[in-house]
Amino acid sequence: MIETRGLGKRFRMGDIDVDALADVNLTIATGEAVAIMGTSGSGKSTLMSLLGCLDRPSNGQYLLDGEDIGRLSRTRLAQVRNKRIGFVFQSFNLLARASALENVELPMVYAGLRGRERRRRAWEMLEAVGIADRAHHLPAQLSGGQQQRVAIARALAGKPDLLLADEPTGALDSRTTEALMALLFEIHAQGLTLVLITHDPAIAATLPRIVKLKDGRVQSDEQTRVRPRLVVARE
Amino acid sequence: MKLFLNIREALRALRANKLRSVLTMLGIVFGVAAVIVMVAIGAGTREQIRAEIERLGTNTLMISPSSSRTAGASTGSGRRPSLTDLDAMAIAIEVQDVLAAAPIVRGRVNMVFGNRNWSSSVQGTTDAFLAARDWGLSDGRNFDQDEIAFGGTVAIIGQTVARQLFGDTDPIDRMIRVNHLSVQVVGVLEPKGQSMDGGDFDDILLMPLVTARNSLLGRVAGRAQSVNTIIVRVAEGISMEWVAQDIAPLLRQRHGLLDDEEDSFRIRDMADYLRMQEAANSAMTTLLGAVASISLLVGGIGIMNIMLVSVSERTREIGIRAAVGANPRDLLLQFLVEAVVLSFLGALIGALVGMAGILMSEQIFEMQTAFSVEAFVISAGFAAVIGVVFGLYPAWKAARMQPVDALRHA
Repeated sequence: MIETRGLGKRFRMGDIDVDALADVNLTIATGEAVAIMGTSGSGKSTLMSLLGCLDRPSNGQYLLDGEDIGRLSRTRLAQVRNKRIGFVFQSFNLLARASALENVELPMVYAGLRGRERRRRAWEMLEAVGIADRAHHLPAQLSGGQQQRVAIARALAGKPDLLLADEPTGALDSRTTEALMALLFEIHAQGLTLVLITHDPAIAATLPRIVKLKDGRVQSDEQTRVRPRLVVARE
Repeated sequence: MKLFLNIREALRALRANKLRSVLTMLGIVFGVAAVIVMVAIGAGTREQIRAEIERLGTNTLMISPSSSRTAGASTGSGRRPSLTDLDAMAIAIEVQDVLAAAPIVRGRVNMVFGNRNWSSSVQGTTDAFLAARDWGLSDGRNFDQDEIAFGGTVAIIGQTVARQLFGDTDPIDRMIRVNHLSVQVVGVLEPKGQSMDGGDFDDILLMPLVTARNSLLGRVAGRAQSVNTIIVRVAEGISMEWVAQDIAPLLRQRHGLLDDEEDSFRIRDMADYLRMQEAANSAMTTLLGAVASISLLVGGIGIMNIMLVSVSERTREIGIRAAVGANPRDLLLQFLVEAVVLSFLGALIGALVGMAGILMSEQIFEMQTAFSVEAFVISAGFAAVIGVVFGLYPAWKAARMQPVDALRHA
């Protein structure tokens, strides 16, 4: 379960302090699927960094399963990211010099898994996202959709309970987008909490809850009551 | 396991920038090569000096005439008394602990046997020579008393002379021509090998002093009894200095020097002389060492520089790794390993270059070297230390990055 209390992040830009995020109070239950919407500069990326334990809040609290993230050491934060959170980025963020398989293995390397076990699980993950036949390709030899599948396999490799997707389809065409969203929903259906950050209303509309951010604050938090749909309606 | 992955990653990263990596290694390459050559030459020289001391004997004194000097300018030997064969005899008889004292006159002669000829150094001396130099005969006999006293036309030859003149023929009792003189070979010296300056000890011809002086070389310094050198052999375990101090007053008295006059001779301890040469050699070793350490230092700075570039180029990679769970220690280790791999590869190449250098100094400069595994181990250790020392700061910079900032990096 995710709980934020008065969460804020303040940056220093030259002489002035800018609140990228202020007074965010959110509760996301385990197994929920939430879209976080907002225009660029609305603070959604900052929120994603905080929820993903990539950064520490400057105000308020972030409780992940009751644990106050702001108080953890950098090493403990790394552990939380490794074991409990999976990331999917807009630009895939795969290691260019490593094969698809090795990219998927990466979180398990840091988790301290042995080579054989690591490779076995990486194969499983690649099969789950339907790209096992490209296991030994380098990212540059894969299409955008394939790269994102590898990234999703990597995000799942650590068996997290929270999947954070930051504009996961932002770099993909509409057909690939549909397939990828279907994959994300399929994963969500297996019990993972899904937090999806997007500026695209069509994509947000496929999720049962939409949180809209504006100027670093929560503007609205609606339950749409839709079940995550496997097909994205595009305008 | 993680270490292995880190090494694989490091090699991958270095391969991605081949030229850059190789250029960065150069400093380490030269540094390590210099260390290896330095150690090899140093060890070789030490070995050579040790062998030479063994050959010459540490308990040998060389007495030679010294020309008198006025305000630093040589005024020539002038009327000053010179060393004579009688001085040698007196030393042998009167000074305690002297085993043998051999007077020597030196010169060059041409020798002919059959259709072969050879030019070599002749030493006119007495039967005491072999004892004084602690040199044995491989064949034949020493000079006898009559030959010494009356100037017999006999010779003892060194191995090189024997080989050049006689080849496979047994030289004993053969007649050779030395300049215009007909001489009978009575003995062959044991082999001694090379001297430190590359000279051949075995390229030598011994003849009775009287014969050499009267019939071949002419007078030394214009006097009938003069000799070039007296070699004195001192009993084992006796201080050379003490014996030298006993010889000096004897010679002064024999030469009739007044109290305020300088010595007309110089007494040198061979071992001292060799130790001096060793000191000169160690100066060269030190110089090479300085070059090596500067090169290693510069190489280390080069590694630090390139690692800083590498860390900032790969900021995004650092962010990705952090996002999937790399903790600061993992990142520190990754870049540290990369720096060490870089300097280690440099050391490996440097060791090969160094070995080539050793071979070259042996072949081209005819330097004696002694290759040592130690030098290898030392330079490998050096490289590791350099990698860690100069890799630490860049690696620390990588580890210190905030994941969110690193990910945002283009």
